[in-house]
Amino acid sequence: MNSGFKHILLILSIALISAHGIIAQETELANTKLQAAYYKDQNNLERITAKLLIKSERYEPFANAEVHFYSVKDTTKTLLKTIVTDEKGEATYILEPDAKASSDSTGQVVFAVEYDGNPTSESASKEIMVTPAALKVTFFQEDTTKFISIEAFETGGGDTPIPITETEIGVFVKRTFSYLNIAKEATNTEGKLIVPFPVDMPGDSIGVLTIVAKIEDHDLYGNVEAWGTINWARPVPIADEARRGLGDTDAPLWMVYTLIVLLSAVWFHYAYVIFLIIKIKLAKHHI
Amino acid sequence: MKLDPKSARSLEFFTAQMVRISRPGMIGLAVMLLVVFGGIYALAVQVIDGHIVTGMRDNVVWGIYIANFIFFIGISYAGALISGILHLLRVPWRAPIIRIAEMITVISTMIGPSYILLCMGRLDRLHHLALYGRIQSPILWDVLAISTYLTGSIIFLYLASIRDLAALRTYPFKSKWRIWLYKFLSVDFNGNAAQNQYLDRALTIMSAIIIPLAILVHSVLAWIFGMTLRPGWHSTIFAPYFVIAAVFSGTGVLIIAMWVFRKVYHLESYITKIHFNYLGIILMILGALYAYFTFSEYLTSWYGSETWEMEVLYKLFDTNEYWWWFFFAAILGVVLPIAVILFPRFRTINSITAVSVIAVLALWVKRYLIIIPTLETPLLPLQDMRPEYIHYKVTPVEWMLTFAGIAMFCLLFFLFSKFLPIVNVVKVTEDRSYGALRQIVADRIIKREVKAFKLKERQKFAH
Repeated sequence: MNSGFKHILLILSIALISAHGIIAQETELANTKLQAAYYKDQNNLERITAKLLIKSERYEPFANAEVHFYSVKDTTKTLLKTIVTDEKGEATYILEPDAKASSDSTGQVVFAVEYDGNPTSESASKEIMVTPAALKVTFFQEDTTKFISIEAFETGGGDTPIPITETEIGVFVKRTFSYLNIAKEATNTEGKLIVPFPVDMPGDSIGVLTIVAKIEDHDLYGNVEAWGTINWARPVPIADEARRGLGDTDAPLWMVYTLIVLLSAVWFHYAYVIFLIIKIKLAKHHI
Repeated sequence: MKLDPKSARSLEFFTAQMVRISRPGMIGLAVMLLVVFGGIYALAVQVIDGHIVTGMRDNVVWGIYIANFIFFIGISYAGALISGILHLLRVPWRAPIIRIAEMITVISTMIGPSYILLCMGRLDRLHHLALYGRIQSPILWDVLAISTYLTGSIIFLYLASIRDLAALRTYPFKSKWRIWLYKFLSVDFNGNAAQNQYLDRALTIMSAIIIPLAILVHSVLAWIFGMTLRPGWHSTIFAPYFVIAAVFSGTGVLIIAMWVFRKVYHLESYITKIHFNYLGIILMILGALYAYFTFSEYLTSWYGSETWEMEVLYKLFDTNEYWWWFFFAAILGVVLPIAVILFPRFRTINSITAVSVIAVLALWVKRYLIIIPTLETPLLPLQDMRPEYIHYKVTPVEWMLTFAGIAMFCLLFFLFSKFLPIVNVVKVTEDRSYGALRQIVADRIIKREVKAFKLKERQKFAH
């Protein structure tokens, strides 16, 4: 074998190794991760929110990907809906009555969320098992003290609700832009939680407050929410609309007066000067 | 009105120029008319096709028209402040130049607001401004202030012209309308003590009023910008900054006008080097003040590092965007006039006029830079927009209307100079203070000659 042939072989080998590396890089799929949570509110509106993430340097939202929502009963999977993720990588499925009914023999409802993957990213899936639960917010008064009563119970076990005991419930007051936490305590053996009503808290013009109770990110129940309203808070009269003036239809009086004074001063002098011009004309016979 | 022989000679000199148009004058007049007609054509195109023929769009809603408006209102300061202050202070050298200054004020205050009308859509609703105008709006303040200012400026110019009108009334002009008009406007002024007293009182009142009024007009104009929460505009020093910029450009235009009329009408014995020197020094001081305001304005914006302010600043300092314009408007246009006028050796009539031209052009560019880069920096980021919606470009229609405004300014000046002497003839020849000024000049010349003679003698002695 002469040296020229050796060189060609060497170059070809390097090229082959490099090409293999490139191909290997090209076929490497990006990791994906699927998160899912179950939410239920007082109106029995149930939804599953899935979030799909893709790893580049770190996990980032994976937008415009199709996510399938399944209802799982025993080993049978029924496709409920396919939803495309938004720019936050999120897809929300609001449960239809058929899906709600499909609880298994243990009373649990099982859902699966799946992403099939594509030529550049891996597939991902997540299963959620939820025991249907509900919260009830009521109010009562003993002597002069006012209380909020929250009852938590499972709803999937037939006609008789089963109390949810020793489970942490957050109590919030609904404010304009967020929920104000006023208590976070566990339910008693009867599935009840009683907290004092925040009577000093400002409500609306007749003292109405909305009290929200929440079970958050619970392994068994997911996210459950209920609320109640009552006029026990401090009434806050509606403030008179602050008339800023500049954006109003009527100008502030100081502005009107200033303008009138300034313009009158100037135009009065103009008028006086014109009067002087008339006097010049009249004084033509003076010496 | 009876004139002394000196005044009569001066009047003869000016009336001869008023009734005659020289060949270069005819050419100039033709050019001005041509440009004005070009502007009328451009206006017709804009009215028929709408504002789409301009560079203004949803985002950049103000363009070169508003820059022209501020510029013309700015140069109107020449008459208001220069002639007002000089009159109040009884400055001896004012007489030959105040007529030019007052004319600049009236003409530019007439032309400037017309650019607002060009900028507006739906002119058919113009009367709504009077019917439904809101006093809270700085735009309405501007309308009130400018109309009051224009009225005041016309009265001021008229008062300062009564003596000349009275003198012209007796001059044997060929055209009867001219004599009738002079007779009507001169209100039978014959120069008696009572009439002089009334006229002087009226002039003093007007010169005192016109100064705060001029300051107010430009402050209001600045507040239209300053009260808007836009980067590059929302500034507390905008009102005094605008006022200083306006006086700076007004003085520059006054110097240029003086140079032109001195050349065209051969007014060398009326408008002397000393006028250029004094106005040049005023220009230099105003230039320094303007530089101070400019530095203060941009330093505070930059130091604050507010996101949108920085966006505008980056545009001004970016060589691919506005840097060279900014360099001309804020640096060259200020440093050059100061540098030239600062040293007496460079202070000639031509050099002072040349730097005035630079200063005036710089101030026009400055007005452009106040408006456009800010409007090209919206407070909300624009996405998926066509480039012309974000970047403003002056269209031929806008250029034609801009040049038509300048031509109209020159044309009205020309027509005014054919109706009234460009120099306050009676005042110049009658004014004892002006005689005193001529004495000062003569004394200086003698002093300089004596100095040169002494130097020569010394050199001779040394030999």
